Amino acid sequence: MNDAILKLTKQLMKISSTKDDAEALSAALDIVKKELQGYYPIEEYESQGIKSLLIHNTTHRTKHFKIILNAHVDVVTGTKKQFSPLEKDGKLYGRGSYDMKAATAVMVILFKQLAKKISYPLALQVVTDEETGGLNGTHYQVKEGLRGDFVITGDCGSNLNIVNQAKGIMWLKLHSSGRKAHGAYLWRGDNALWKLHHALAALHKIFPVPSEEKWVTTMNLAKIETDNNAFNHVPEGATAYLDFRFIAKDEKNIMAKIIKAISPDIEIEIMFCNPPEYVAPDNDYLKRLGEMGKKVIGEEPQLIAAHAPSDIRHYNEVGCVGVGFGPKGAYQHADDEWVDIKSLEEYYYILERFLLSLEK
Amino acid sequence: MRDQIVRLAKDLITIPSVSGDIEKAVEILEFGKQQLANFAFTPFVSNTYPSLLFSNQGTDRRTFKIILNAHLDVVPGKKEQFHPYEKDGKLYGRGVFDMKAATAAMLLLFKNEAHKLSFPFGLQLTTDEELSGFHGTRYQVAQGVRADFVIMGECNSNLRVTNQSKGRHLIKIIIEGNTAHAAYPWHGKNALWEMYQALNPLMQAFPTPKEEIYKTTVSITRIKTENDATNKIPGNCTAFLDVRYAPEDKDTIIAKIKSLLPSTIRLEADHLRPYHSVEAKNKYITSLRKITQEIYGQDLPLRFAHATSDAPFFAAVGCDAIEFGPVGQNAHQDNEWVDSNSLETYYYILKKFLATVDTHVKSSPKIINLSSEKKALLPL
Repeated sequence: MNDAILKLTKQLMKISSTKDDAEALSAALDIVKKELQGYYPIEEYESQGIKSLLIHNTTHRTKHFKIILNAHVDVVTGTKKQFSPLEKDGKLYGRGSYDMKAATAVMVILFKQLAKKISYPLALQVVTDEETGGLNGTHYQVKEGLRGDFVITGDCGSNLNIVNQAKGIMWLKLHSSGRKAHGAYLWRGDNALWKLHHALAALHKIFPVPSEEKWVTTMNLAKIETDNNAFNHVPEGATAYLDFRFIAKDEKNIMAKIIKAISPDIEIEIMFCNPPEYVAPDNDYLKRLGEMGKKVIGEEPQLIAAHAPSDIRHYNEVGCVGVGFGPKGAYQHADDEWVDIKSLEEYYYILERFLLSLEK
Repeated sequence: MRDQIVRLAKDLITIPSVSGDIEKAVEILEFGKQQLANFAFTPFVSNTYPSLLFSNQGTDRRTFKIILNAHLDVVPGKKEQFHPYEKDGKLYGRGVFDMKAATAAMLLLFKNEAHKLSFPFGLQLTTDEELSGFHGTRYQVAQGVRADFVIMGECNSNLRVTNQSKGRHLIKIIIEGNTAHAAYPWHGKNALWEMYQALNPLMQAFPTPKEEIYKTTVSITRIKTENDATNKIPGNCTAFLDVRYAPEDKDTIIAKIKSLLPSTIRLEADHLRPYHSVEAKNKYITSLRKITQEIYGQDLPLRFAHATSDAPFFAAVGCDAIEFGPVGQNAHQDNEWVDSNSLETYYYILKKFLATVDTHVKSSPKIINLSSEKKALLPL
């Protein structure tokens, strides 16, 4: 079993399916398609040029499934080396190993083996834009009518525990306008980069970078752009890209805090905002998943609150619930990303038992 | 004459020869060649940047008595700025002041006068002044081009002879952090934050002056990171500083900047142009100022420039070079303009100056003594 999973995982990881590479994203989907073609109906979706798949075990068209397994095959950018998967000491290293090509491979192979034996409507959803917000993948399919009683996303962060809540996410652009001038005549200009800096410094005071893991609202300064592409200009416009992760307690007041902290001549653009995710601990499916986890690995999975949201939030918007549940690993989005190989098999068996248990 | 210069300036502005666009650089030099079809020229290319040297004495000439120096590249502008227009006696457009209107005057002057002059007279057209001048003027100088006196038609002099300018360093500050997913900021080290913290003391030491000062200035022109995902913590960051140093800081400025930054950063300094100065009593300067007074009607003082030009590249080999251009304002800005009438004044001043050189100024070859700092500028 593990061999098939590893083989498919590596096949997926070798493709640098980053957001800007439509061809690679298609190629990653093609691998999934090839694996399941002829066994199950495959619905192909496309929104704004972004493709996604929905594979299911029903013979008639339905939009409502009991269980949906959710996977994404897009990855964040990585070094060239990261796209050559490397096995070492029971770990599989490389871009997307943990986030989440190994979990995708497990879901695909499990679906292939099991879905025919399942009598209730079961679907596997594979998208290519989770890292960029999921609007044209999961969100789009949900908008087109897709519903599930319970959704499991194999996204990273759970380590065989169950993520039943996640921070909300808000992406902002802050734009400052100054006055352009030649770099030798600073008094004629007004440096937009420096203006922006004052706003950022004020926000940094309110949302400092925690030195260790903490259940608080955080802010990441991801990028700064100027419209200035000469080196002898005082820049007249500058834009900062901010990524806020907010806890439920801050949902109501976060914007007010931001607006109060910065100068009114800084423009704020909300790129998007999603509320925190949540599913109650007494949800029947959630409890069942926990029981199966205990049976396979011997201990009860913990309920965890995730700092990062997942595509589950797009289901929450239409009243469907779901959890994050994936294999063990670390360093998603960083240079040393890895997934624990043994945990892939455990992951497979927990999901298998869970899906079979719902037949009864 | 005014209308002729304006018309030619408009033609030049219409070609969007933004520094770095080699295709447009070639196109605008072709246009220059058509204007001076009757003259010999030498083409130069360095690192793909083309430049030309026109001469009134055949193609092989490298040494001149007088050279006019013009750059045809401009800084980036809005689309509409490449459609020049005249309003209330002012000509507007990208590069009109810096320095296509002056170039138009120089082209016409060369076309009309060069063949009448008995001394070796040259016109340089370059395409990388806004970047570094390394592959235009400096390259030609490295190839042996020399003159007793060089006039750069640069902006901001407003008919004042500019014999001194600040030096310029382009400084790159590089900071490495650790990348991580944005939801787990404690796993990473945000290089952009590190950068802002590093720059704070520097900007406090060199605050943006409220008004014109003849002191060293430092500005941040760009901050960039390789990070392109909003949900990633940036693992690296580079900031670019534009440093214009006054003569008194010539030897200490880099050390001073280093001392204000944390030791963990990497600093790369590019000495783009040295501080530059020509003696006020230079005979050509005296002559040019006298003629300006006669034609313009005002005795204008010498000027010290904040911005650098390609003049220091000549200074490095012992050739005296100054900046002298028409009246205008707002170089590099959206509302850049020149005074249309001043273009004609400019033309006649230069015309008379050249005629004076021909009759009165007898030059003897100079003995050039290169200091080691100046020599360092030469190799390419």
